[in-house]
Amino acid sequence: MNSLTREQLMAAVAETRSPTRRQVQTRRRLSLLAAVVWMCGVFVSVGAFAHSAARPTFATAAITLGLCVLAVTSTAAVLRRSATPIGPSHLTLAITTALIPFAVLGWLSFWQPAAAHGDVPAGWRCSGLTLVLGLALLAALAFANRASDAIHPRSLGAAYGAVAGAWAAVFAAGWCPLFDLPHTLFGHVIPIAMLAAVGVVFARLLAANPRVSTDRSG
Amino acid sequence: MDRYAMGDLAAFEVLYDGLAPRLRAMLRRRHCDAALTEDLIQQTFLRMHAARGHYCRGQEVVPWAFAIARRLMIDAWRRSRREHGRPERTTVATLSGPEEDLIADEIARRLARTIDELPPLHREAFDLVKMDGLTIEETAQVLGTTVNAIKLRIHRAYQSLRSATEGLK
Repeated sequence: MNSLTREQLMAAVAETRSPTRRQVQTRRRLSLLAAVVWMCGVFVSVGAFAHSAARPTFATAAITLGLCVLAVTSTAAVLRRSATPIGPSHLTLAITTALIPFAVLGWLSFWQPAAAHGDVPAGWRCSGLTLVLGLALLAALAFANRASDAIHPRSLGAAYGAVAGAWAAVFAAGWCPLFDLPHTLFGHVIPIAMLAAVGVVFARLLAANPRVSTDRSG
Repeated sequence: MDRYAMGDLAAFEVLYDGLAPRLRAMLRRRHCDAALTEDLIQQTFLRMHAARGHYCRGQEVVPWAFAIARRLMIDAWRRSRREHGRPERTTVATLSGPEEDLIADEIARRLARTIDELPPLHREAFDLVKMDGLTIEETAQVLGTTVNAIKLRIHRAYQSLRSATEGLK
């Protein structure tokens, strides 16, 4: 049985296409570059930092910098190279995914006194901006790491979604000078949770699940 | 694995020959029947094949293969809800004389029962280190936890085994 299994496996492996490391690296660079270009392009097209001119410059800089630190930290936690290809543990991914929305809310609330005054809209535009930016990055992350996880792809997908949301929050908070709890929740925090949920859907793409027949009968 | 990740398909055979026996032993020890074991080994290697481009130079392969096989085994058990028989797992060094044999049998019986009754987390760590020959670090990677947590689980497992054989020495 062992030799039969071995022969069949070798045949299946020979027939199943899988990218080499070099191809994966190229794919990773191109997709992440495309996402960064898209995010910067959208940010500039909606007015960039000029849109948040009603808020003091130092507050905009501090908010953006703080969220950048959060995004970098969470990216490092999820994407860092570990001692094995297993990647971060399920617990690390779950904690990172859960903490990001709360951290964004906490940081924006901390800078509430510096927010611009006036009528605060519901937050459709902020929500839309966060989703448009975050979805692009999430799609790039999922495409770059396609078929990479054989153990916990759903947790990884959710974490990618949250990380994409953290980076989108950097741009959205740099663009929006307002603070109001319902607005911040609807426009800045809930989209991150939505991106994490969408990341779970991307799990099928992330799963290292080859479509080959392993039937030993023939 | 490094050669294989760079596209050398011949290196896959070397990888298979090195890993398959260890995976087979691990799966059989966890009461997978022969057919399921071979199927899980195939699936494990096909997943490694699909993800080979994401392997970075210097990363450890054994914990990765064990973690994939373990995940597949759990999924298979959940899917089928099959009942598996418990093979004999007791081997004790032969002692001389009928009295020593009786004591050895009793120790073996108690140890087997205690191992079966270990909490799943302790049992998993104990099996991977003591039965499958993984290091503490590799076991921590497979189970997605810290080295200290694995040391603690194995220590607790030892404590249980020690207390089970007390009074028989």
